[in-house]
Amino acid sequence: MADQRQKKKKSSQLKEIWRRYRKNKAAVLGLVILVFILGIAIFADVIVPYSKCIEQVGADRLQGPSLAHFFGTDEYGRDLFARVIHGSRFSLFIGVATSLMALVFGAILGASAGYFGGVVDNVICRIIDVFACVPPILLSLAVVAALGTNLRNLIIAITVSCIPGNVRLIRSLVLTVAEQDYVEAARSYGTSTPRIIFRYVLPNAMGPIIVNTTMSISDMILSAAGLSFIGMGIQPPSPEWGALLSNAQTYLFTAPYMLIFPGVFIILSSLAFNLVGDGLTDALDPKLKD
Amino acid sequence: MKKRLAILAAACLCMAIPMTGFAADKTDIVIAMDADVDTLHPTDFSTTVEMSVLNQIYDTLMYFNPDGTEDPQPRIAESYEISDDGLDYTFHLRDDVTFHDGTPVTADDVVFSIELYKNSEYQGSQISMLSSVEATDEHTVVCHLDTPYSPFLEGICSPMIASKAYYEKSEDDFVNSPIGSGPYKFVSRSKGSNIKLEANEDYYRGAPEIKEVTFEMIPDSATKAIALQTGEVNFAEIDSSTMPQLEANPQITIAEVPTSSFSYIAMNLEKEPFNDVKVRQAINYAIDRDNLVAVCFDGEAEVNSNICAKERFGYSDDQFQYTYDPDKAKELLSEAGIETPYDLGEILVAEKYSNLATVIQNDLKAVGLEVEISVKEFNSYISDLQNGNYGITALNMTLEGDTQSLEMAFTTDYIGIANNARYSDADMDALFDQARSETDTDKREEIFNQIFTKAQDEAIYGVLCNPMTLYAYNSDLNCPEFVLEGNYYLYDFAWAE
Repeated sequence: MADQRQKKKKSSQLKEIWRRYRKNKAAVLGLVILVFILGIAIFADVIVPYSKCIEQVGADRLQGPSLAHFFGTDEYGRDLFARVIHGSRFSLFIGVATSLMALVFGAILGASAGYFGGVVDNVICRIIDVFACVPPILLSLAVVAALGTNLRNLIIAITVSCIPGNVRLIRSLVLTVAEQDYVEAARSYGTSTPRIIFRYVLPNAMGPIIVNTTMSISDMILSAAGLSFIGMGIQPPSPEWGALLSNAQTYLFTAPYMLIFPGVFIILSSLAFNLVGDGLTDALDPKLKD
Repeated sequence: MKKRLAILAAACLCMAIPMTGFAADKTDIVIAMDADVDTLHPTDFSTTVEMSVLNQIYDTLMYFNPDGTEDPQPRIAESYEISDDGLDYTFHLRDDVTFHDGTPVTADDVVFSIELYKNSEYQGSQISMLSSVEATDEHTVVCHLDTPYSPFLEGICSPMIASKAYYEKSEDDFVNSPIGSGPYKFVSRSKGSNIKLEANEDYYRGAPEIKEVTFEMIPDSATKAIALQTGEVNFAEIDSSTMPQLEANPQITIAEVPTSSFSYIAMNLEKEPFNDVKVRQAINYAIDRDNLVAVCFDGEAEVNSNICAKERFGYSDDQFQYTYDPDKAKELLSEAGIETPYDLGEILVAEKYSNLATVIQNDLKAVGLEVEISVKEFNSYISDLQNGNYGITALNMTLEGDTQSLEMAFTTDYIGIANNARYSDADMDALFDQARSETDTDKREEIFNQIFTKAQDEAIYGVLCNPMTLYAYNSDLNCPEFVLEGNYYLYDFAWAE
């Protein structure tokens, strides 16, 4: 009986969140774009086979958009439509993977610092301070330069650069939650510390964390694009939106379409994650009940 | 994105500005340079930009046309003699040459400059066999060699002649505000921005026509193209990607200048399967060089599978040329016992050569050879390359000067320096030794013919093409024809009347 009641309560809470989310038109638009782009990434192989985006056709170099090549071709004679479509897999994967990894590390370090306080807090915060005072792009660059350029190292590099922000956010959230009476109560009847952190503290700090993570995905996509743009991203000939932009810059005047299409997709995906994040902020904040 | 938008906006603005006409009495020129100069030291420079500036300020003993087709032209030295045994070179100097500070150029200054050049870490390899140089009187300089060296005359004419007294007075000034005896005087330099020169009215060949020169630093190729179109810059070396837009502008003339630099595939001959000549030949046949030149150089390179540029001494059409023949490549691979698809491992490249690697990867795949591209930061790339820590790579190299300099790509002594194939062959070493001491032009040519025939037969490298240097300049500017390597002398430039 009790279980059923809880389920019902949960689903109604989700319903409530969805109801509030739906009221925000911009957020719904963001969600639509997001689903669209995720759809492209998931069904990339169905839309156009991967072989199309590395196939070089010398005769078709630098062709403008046409029915044969919707987005035109690049200087190698590769189909840009295929490259942009498959590029979404790399860009979104990097964005989501780095955000999740940064979240996991941020949660462990931030929660420990916030919950235990004292020496633990000091040690973690000072180390994070050191990382935080290096500009993120520079930190990523240093990591990529040290480890070499490939997809895995790119993800590590971007993750490292955004851990400090996550740790600080989660630490401050945990600090407020850890003082609540229900945590005190749990502690008083002898619940183990990890259980307190993961069962009571973190779930109650979840709203802002979800919002932050969603929004950070768009930053991560931009960071990855930025690193690829300066040649520190993934290895050619893999398509990635930033790398496509980088390639296009030499043909800025003669073939601007090479720049426009990947540029539009970067903007769209970044916008979508931001709008969804904004929508979630309002939807998840219980104080904003109306 | 922001920067990109700014560039676009700037481009739109520039379109709106009408082309500025040139008055007939224009006497100044603005030249774009790709990078700032680190030094204006006459022998310790290392970049083309630095050389382009120094070439205007300093003069040499004689001027050599780099393609070796003409006799040397006298400059500071009005005549020269070579002893019969080929060991002593005597130069007679003009007596009317002065430095920009008014002091005369003497034999002592020439001796000082040659020694400075010989001891420089950056230059001087061409005269490494010079054993001593002395001034026998105020206007005569004699160079002594231990063994005859055929390209010595060209080498000894490369040092820029600088003032010994000025060097002894202040080394800082010597590097930062140089005094030469050339057609232009150094005026000022603002770091990261520009360098200004003015005409040397007392120049012994007569005052130059163009009076004021500004080298303006513009690293971005798109910005440079815009500056050329607005007339902000009159002369620049351009990137091939901006050529279509500049070509379309009637105000701008483009010169395509051949160079001896070469783009090539290097294979580590110490590793399998590259130690098999058939595999190397197959790779040579597998590359569609015409397509590669179109893709990576926008067509601005001369297809050539021979390491010796076609304009260079020693090149002959008799030397074998590899052409695109994927069937032949597959045949050679199966003769070599390679079962396709075969994994060749990584093709290691620096970022700026990744476009070469992308095309090569595609062409190799067509004959059943799989490579994966691995891009490395430039310095660590070079160190891997020199230590033989690679299997196959693609890059661009320049070995300027006499054809003899190509020994750096082939002889045992240069393994770990520029012999990236790590090729070691007693016959090849001996041939280059012969070429070095042979003074008869026809015989030298025959030796080089043997060398390049051997290099092509053994497919030691997979040479792809010789990229061209592209100059774009205002159509009202009269420039003499640019010769191999494209060094230019503003003294020869003039505005149309």
